[in-house]
Formats: sequence, structure tokens, C-alpha cells
Amino acid sequence: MWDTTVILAIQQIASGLVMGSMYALMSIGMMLILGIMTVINMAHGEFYMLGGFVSFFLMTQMGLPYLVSLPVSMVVVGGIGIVSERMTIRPLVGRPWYSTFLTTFGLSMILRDAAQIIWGVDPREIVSPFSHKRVVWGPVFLTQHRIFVFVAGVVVIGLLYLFIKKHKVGMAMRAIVRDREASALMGINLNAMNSFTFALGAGTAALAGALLGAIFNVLPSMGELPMVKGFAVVIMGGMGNVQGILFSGLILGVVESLAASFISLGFSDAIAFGILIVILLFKPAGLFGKRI
Amino acid sequence: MLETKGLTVAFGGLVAVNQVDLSVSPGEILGMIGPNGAGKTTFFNLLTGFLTPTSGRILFKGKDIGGLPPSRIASLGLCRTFQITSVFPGLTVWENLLTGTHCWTQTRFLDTLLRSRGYGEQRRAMEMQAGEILEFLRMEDQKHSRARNLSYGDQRRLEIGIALASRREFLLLDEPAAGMNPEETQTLSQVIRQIRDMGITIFLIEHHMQMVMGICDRIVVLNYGRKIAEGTPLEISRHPQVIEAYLGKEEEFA
Amino acid sequence: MNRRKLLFLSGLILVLILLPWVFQAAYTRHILVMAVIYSFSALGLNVIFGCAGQTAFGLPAFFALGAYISSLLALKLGFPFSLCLLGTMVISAGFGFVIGYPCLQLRGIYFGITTMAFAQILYYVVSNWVELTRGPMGLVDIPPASLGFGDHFQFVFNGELRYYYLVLGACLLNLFFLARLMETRLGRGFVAIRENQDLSASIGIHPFWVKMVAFMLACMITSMGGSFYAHFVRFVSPIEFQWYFIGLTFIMVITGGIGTIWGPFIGGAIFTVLPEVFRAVETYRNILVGAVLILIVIFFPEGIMGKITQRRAKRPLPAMERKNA
Repeated sequence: MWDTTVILAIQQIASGLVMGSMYALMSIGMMLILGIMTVINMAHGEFYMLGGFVSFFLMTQMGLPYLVSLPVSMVVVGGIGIVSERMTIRPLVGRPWYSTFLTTFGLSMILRDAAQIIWGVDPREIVSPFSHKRVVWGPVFLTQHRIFVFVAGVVVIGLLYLFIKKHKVGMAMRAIVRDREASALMGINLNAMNSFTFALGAGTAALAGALLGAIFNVLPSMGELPMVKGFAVVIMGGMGNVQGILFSGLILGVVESLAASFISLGFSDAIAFGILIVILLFKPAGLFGKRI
Repeated sequence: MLETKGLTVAFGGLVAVNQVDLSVSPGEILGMIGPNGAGKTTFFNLLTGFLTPTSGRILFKGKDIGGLPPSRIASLGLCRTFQITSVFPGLTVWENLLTGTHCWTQTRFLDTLLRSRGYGEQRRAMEMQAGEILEFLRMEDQKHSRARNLSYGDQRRLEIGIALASRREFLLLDEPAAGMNPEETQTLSQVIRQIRDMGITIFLIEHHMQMVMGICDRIVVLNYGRKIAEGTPLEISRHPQVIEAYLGKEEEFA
Repeated sequence: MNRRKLLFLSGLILVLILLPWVFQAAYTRHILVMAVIYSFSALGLNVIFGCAGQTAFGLPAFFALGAYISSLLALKLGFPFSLCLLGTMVISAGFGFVIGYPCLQLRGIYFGITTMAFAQILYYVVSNWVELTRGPMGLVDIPPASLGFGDHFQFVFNGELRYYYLVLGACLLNLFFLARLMETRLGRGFVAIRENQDLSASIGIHPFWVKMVAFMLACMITSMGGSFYAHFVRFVSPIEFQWYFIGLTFIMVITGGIGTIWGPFIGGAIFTVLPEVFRAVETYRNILVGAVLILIVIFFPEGIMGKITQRRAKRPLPAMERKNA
């Protein structure tokens, strides 16, 4: 028979994978924004948060079913992303990196406050059609929703990977990372690419927020921690490396989950950083660091 | 002044610099040429501490400097410029030169803190040196321009200026004429000669044949990491192995 | 220093000294004190980030670290304030060395992230080592700052007015020290490394140790602020370690003017006072602060001090290159 510790461990690994896939989803957006626009997007957590709230809004105020609210939320938040980019990043072309670091920080303050004004401080609940159905798989209990989250995450990440690799726009993105000026000379519209990349990042973060919003509740401050962990995953996974980020995200999710249940919740937050330090000291380019 | 004996560096299976022996006498201008990828910049990186030799020795003024960190080597009297222009971009030309002088200034911390007389003297000495170099480079009108806003040629001149400001006795110049037009190259050649006349020994890497033939006292030729020839410009221009190494390349002999 | 500059400086200092007499309400004076205290964090960050160019994301955590160390020295060991302050600086320098040593093996953003990782670990330790720090409940009843000899000759800095002059004095002393520091070989070394680390090495500046000194100094100054904080507010809790504070410190340094002397002080003042000014519109407060931040960044490329120096020198700074997007 299964030993209870082992069962607990497997359970935690399973839910860790779910969280990890979302970390990876967030991180890929951040990585793209960082690589293509050289911007550290301090508002990425807020796009995640808005994804949850917009989904909530669409479901409760407009009666849309959960599954429809997901892509709509992505588009809406993507749109917010485009407007934000115009106002906080476009004016700062040619400036050092910390300029956009600051303006996106300001943006995050604005978005968070706005969400608070519109929806208040209290947590809101999103009910997914899968929420209450359980799946029993050997010794492990998982809600259908969590499986859905994981699958959705991996699928979207896979799509992103293919997009970057095969699609014309994706290749343009890679070209920009390689050589920005040359890309411009080759006719790539840098402004449009910037807006697109930012919208893509915002949209994927929103998806993560809407997906996880049905597991944890949605509140205005929910984006802070995921964003920080997202950066950790970007560093761990290596710039330009989608697979690396996926794996790093999953690893982080699993380790965190195990640490949370076997050691303590507080420790699990710190552990992301402990891992990061160790990795950086031994493999300065990240676990899987390599170029696109 | 500078001597290498059997200097070798290998990365995995690739031997980038292979048993190179050479020596540079004080006050001479030595040139190093060779096809792309021959190992010239790698050689410089070994001399200046950015790479550690796999075997062999580097002796600077009799002292073994192989494997020492760049700042140590610099403080012993060796200074280099880089293939990709290296200046202090955010600082003005004047500030760039002043920073260059900092290595030989001996201002004590307390002196500066309290602005005592010692500070004032040192400061004047630094400013005088910077001023002289500014004149020498003929860049007075750009004194307050930010280095990043200078033209490419001016940046390269500034780079040499910083090297001069540091009052090193031995200068390593990595492709100083890269990307320069003929007129700028002429000026550069003059500048280099004038620097030598100040008593500084110069060792340079260049692709620009005309320039190398024109100013170097001796030339060393590297190919695939090995030294294949050494001698005066005239001897080198006739050396069969050198000609063969360059066959099919775009550089022409003066 | 020429006459004009001296006059301007004296004027500024005079204004600073007179401020609490213009704003006599205890509440406003409280804000003034906090503005100066928080600017220590910016001052410290400016040394390692502004001057030496190393993005030490985790550095502002030393503010809270300093607050805790100072409180513990007072509460557990009964140190008088002056010793607490001194002890905090020394111990933080030690922490700075221990943390800096591994972090400085890395360059650029990796260095920054690693310092942040250490900061997060510190947060965890402080939150959870309940026997020492009382965890989330924080430390209370920290004795106020006082200077004096023995039991009879104590001058206690209770009240906003006295504390204001205490921290203002300390801050001005720091500013003076930093201004002179930037003219020493060491200070010039910071700038050289910021501008071009490899070139600096080539002219004899030793990158690792110069960066280490900058880092340790930054830790000391930042933790000094923490100490002042602890003995003023007289309560510390792990909340001070939050991310927001890190971002806020960067905001202060950058909007004030990177690498300048007065920049961090001005940035610190603005971003402590501004949220208070907007307190009247409580719900929209962060939106306004965020908007102001964005506007300052867009319109003051070299920070507020940068704009001021530009105008005073009457010599146009070369326009920031606007690459054709």
C-alpha cells in the first residue's frame, strides 16, 4: 500500500506542476518583453491580476461562460497592454533600461489602484465549470480544473514556442533580439512589434490570472508575488529559451509545493530564491541558458 | 621589455595561440599581423590578463605576469586598447582623460576628504596631464562632449588618449585603425609615432597593411596561432610564408 | 567650490533648517522626518547603483536589516543609541561583505537578482526566527534615540522637531562625505567601473574590490537610515522588507538623479511627501503617484538634479539619442 508521505508528495508534485505551468506562462511573456523590448515589466503581475478580474467581470456582469471569458479576457487585457505600452514605454525609446523599469512600476501602481477602485479590496471568486469535479488517479486527488489549467498552460506555451519558431511574426521577434537595427533596416516595424509583444505578454499573463483565479481568489494585490517569481524563472530558464522556462517553471512549482507542505509555507517562498542563488552561482547563464 | 616564451593557450581541443616566442624592445613599435582568426586578439588577451595561458611564460620587465588579473598587470605598466572601442561613454572627453590619470595619482583618501593642500597639488597635476593630452590629440573643442556622442574616429583617438593619460610605459593597441578612412589613418600613424617619441613602447595589431608597414620597426606574423615570421617590414613583405598566408585575402601589401 | 555654488548651498541648507518652523503641525513634521530617513535608503542605493553602476536590487532590504539590528542591540543588549547606530553600521558592513562576496562574482542583472534573492531570504529569516525577532508581530518599545554621557547627561530626541534636526544633520554629513568621496580615487573608480568595467581594469582599477567597497558602503548608509527609523517610529516589523520598498528606493534614486549627490535626497523627499500630499484623494492616491512618476521619468531624463545642473550650466546636455524605432 502507498505510504502516506509518498501520497502527499505525489499530490504536492501534481499541484506543483499546475502552479509551475502558470509560472512558466507568466515568465515567457516577461522574457519576450525583456528580450525584444529590453523592458523589465514591473506591471506584469498587474496584467495577471487584471486577467482574473476581467474574467470575473465578464462572467458575473455579462453572463459569459468561463471558457469564453478566458480568450475575451486575454484580448481585453492585451488591449490594455497596448495602450499602456504607448504611454509608458514608447516615449522612452533610447533611454537606459531603468527608465522603463520605473514607468512600468508607475503603471503597476495605477493599474492596481484602478482595480481596487472598481472592484474593491475583497477577494472575488471565479467559478470554473470544472471546479468541483474531482478526478482520482491512483492515490492522487485533483480537481478537473487543475488539470485543465495545466493542460491549457502547456498547450499555450507550446503554441507560443511554435509561433516563435515558425510564424513570420515570431521570426521577426527573433530577428529583433539578434540585431535590432538590422531588423529595422530589413523592414520590420519595430513600433508595431513592440506593441504586439507587450500585448502578447499582457494577454498570456491575463490567461494565467484567469486560470488561477478559479483556484485562488482574485484580489488587487495578487500579482505581486507571481511577478517576482516570474523573474526568477526567467533567469533560471535562460533568456530566449522557451523550453528552459517551461521546465524551470515546473521545477519551481514542484519544489515550492513540496516545501510548502513538508517544511512550511513561508519557507516555500524563500526557496525560490535559494534555488536561484545556487543556480546562478554555478551556472551563471541560468539552468538552460542559451540563445534563441 | 616584454617577452613571451612558448606562450600557448588552448580551449578544449582548439589551440588558439601555439608556442609563440617573441620579444619587444623598449621604445620600439612592434606590429602583429595575420589573417583573421590567427589568434592576435587572443594573444593580447593573454598579455593583459583577460586570459590565462595554458603553458609558456610572459615576462614584463623581467616579471612573470602570466595569469595575473588585468588590473594588476595594468598597475605594472602595461595598458591596452580594445578591438571594439572602449571609452567611458557617459563621461565627457575631459572626464575620460582625468579618469585615465587616476592610476598614477597617489592622493590619499584623507587628503581628498578634507581638501588639503596635497589634494590640490595632485588635482593640478592630473588636470595638466589631461590638458596636455587634449592638446596633443587636438580635441580641445570637444572637451565637454560626452564620449558616446563622438564620432567613431574621435572615440578611437580618445581611447588612445586615455591610455596615454595612464602614463603606462607599454601600450598595446588592438586594431586602432579599424574602420578609419585613409585620412584618419594618416593622423593616427602620426599620433602613434609621436607617442613612441615620448618614450613609450608600442605593440599593435593591425590589418591595415599600409599603416603597419609604415610605422612599425619590426613585424611579427601569426597564422593559426603560430608565429610564422618576424622581421623588418621589408623582410616580411618578401617572406614567402607570409605571402602564402595572405593569398586570396583582401589586404594588399604597400 | 565657487561663490555662487556656495551661496546656493547655504541657501538650501537654511531652507531645510527652517522647514519645521514653516510647518509646525506634528503631523507635517513627522512627514519631514520620514522623508529624510527614507532618503538614507536612496543615498545608499545611489552609491552602488548610481555611482558604481551595479543594480543591487536587494540593497534596500538593508534598511529594514539596519532597523532590526539597531532595535535588537537596544532591546537585547541595552546599548545606548550611539552604540546602536555604530554597531548597526559595522554589522551591516559585515553582512554586506558576506552577501557581496558571492553576488559580485556575477555581473549585471544576475548580480542584481542574486542580491534580491538574499534580501528575500533575509525577509524569511526575520519573519520566522520568532525567538529573536518576534516574527510578524515585530519589535516594539524601541527606546528613542538619545545622546549623552552616563545617566545624568542624556539628551533625548523625543518629538519630531528634535529628531528632524538629528537626522537632517546626519544626512547632511553623509552628503558631504559622499561629495568628497566621489572626488577620491575610490569614488572615481566607482564611476569608471560604471561606465566601462573592462577599460577600468585595463587602467589599473580592481573591479571586484572597488565594487565590494561600494556595496559595503551602500549597506552601511542604508542601514543607518534603518536605525534612525527604528528609534523614531519605535516599532519594526517584516513589512518593511516588502518589494514595494525596493521599487520605491529605485524610484527615489533615479528620479532624483543617478550618481548625483543631492539627487537621492530630493527623490527621497518627493516620494515620501507626494503620497502624503495625495492622501486627500485617498482612493486615487496611487494612481496619481504612479502618474507623477511616469511623467517625471519621461520629462526628466537625467533626473531632477540632472535638469537643475543642466540649466545652471547653461550648456545643453547632448540630447539622449533617439534611435529610430
